[in-house]
Amino acid sequence: MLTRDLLVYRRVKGIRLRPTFVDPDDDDHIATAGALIELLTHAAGEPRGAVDEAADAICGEARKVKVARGLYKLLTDRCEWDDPGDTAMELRAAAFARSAAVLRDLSEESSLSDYLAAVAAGLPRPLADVRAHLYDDLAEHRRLLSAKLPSPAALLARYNLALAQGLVLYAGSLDVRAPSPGPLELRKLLRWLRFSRLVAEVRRDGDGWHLRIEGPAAQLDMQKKYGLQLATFLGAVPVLGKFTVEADIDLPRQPRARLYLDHKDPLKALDDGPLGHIPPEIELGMASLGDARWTLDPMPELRHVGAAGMCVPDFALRDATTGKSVAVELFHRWHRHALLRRLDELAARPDPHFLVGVDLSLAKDDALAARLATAPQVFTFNNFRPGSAWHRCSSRSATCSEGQVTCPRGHVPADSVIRSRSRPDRMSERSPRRPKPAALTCPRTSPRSRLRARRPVLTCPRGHLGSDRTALRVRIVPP
Amino acid sequence: MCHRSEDGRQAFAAYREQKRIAFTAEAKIEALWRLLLRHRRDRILVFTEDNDTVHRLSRLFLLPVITHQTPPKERVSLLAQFASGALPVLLTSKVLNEGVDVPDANVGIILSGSGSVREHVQRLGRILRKKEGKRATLYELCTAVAAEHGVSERRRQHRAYQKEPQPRRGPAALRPGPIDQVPSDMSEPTGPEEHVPGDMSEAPGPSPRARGPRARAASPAEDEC
Repeated sequence: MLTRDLLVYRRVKGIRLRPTFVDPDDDDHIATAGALIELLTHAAGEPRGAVDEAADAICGEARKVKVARGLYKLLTDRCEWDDPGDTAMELRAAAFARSAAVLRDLSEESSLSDYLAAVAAGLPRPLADVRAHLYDDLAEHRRLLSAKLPSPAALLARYNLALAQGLVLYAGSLDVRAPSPGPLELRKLLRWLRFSRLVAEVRRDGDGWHLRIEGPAAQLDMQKKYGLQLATFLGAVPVLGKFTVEADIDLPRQPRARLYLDHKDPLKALDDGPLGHIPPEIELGMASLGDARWTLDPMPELRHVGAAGMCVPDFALRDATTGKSVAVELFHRWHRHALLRRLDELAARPDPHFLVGVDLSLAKDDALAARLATAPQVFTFNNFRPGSAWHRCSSRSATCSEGQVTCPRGHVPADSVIRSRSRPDRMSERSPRRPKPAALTCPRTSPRSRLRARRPVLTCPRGHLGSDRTALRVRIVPP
Repeated sequence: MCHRSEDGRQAFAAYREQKRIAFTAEAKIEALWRLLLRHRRDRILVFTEDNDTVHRLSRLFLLPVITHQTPPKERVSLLAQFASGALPVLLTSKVLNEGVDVPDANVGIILSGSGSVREHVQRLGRILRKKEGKRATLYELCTAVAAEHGVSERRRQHRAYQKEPQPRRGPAALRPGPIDQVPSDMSEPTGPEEHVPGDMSEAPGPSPRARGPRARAASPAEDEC
């Protein structure tokens, strides 16, 4: 990603922003890119300060210095530098403690050599060695370990995309319109939308699609991380054959402007590979689950939710025994409003094969926690690291698949009777695919007022309704 | 001469080398050592213009450094040790110029800096934090007969450095001019100065312009708060 000082763009009529894309076939740019790649190819083991200095000389000779610096920045993003850990910090702590003690006890006539001799006597290493390694952890002293270097043409294509991404980091909103995307391309884009964890609204627009995505400038916190994810998503937009992108850009200390991009711009998708990217955290989680019963489906079908909404689940868990699958949608800390909307939609139109994962940081809010406690098919997670969140997810999936009703404390009704307000045969007549919400309740303890409620109300024989943040495990069995 | 030609690059490299030599002159290092010894039981903040200088000093004296590259954990630890007195000296470039409260610092040594009045006053402000019984001293070391001398004169054009209180000047009056155009009211030293030549004697020396390339330590703002 390019930093703001490396962005090259112009304003058209004061409000329209256009990145100054480079010509990927320009000989000068190809030569500069080639020289920088050549430099890094042979720089393994060199300290970063020396590599930067050599790159400065190459950039200084380039026809467009700023472009050359941008190319170098993109290359260094692909480099891996050694990490000395805390060794240098520990060495400094020991040296500074020793020097402070010695300095305090000196007389005013002492010479520098007396002082250094006294300090050296209490150091863990020889003085020259300490001096040489005192700041090994500074960036300029770190040595290049490896670099995944692209070809000059690929680097220039990446640079063009980075110019647009650098502006999107300051976006208030981003509109992507695709007039008639192919199903695979659309699916890939929507998958990226989910993996980027963006707040978005997806709509059909005639034959095309319209994605309206909130930008980092519209977020109250985590702006940097969110902005990076939005920029990453922009890298997937070119997979659509034809598209237009518009974004409100709010650059610091500059008037508001609007960015326009389309498929005629020299933008190339970050990942041209086949579909099916699975985030490492999800792969790790499945590996840690160790459950042969469940398999991960990274590309579940799109689902209709609510009246007109469209949902792209993050992943689905397929039950090997029954062949049924349960889709899982995750809501992170910036998805509060989206989560509330989804809960409303699920209450109005329950989806028995759908689970909602909620970041624990969202559940800290009391009002939302109370809402989650009464909502079915909800589980919580924390960063989705391998561990308990995955087990909660799989156990919810199991109950979804088997149709059990239990309370959070594991009380199963003795007679295992689930009473529904709507008779199955009538439900099947109305809508075979989307059953009407059924009010499920424990036969022993349900108050009549609960039965009258529109939303599914779930209790257990001992009355543990919403007594903790976990929801009742329930499956509303479709006819 | 174009800055992108070989000659231009060499000229710019020579300019940077000249600045580096002026900022880290041997006499300055010697003067700094004497001041460190004199105030070894105080809390000293040493300011420099760039990170290279501060790291060089740290390697030379084995004294702690805080720059923007210092890891946050280490920065917190160093400031805490400085406040408790475990560390008597902190070297820094610009990161402690403002926004950091170090009330225990009572000696400031400006080894190098820009011509910015604002930066200079901010640095003075680091050691003028109120504390009972505190007496703060600010030293400025600059190489005579070098461009740095004029820069030093420029950055002290503030009423905090005047002997007599001056009426507040507007921003235009504070805007620094060319190095060789010292305002007429600044041609003479304006505050109590302490000249420390190579032999570190405390006797006042001749006019700064008449002196050779030796370090000058001045305490224009010595105040009790």
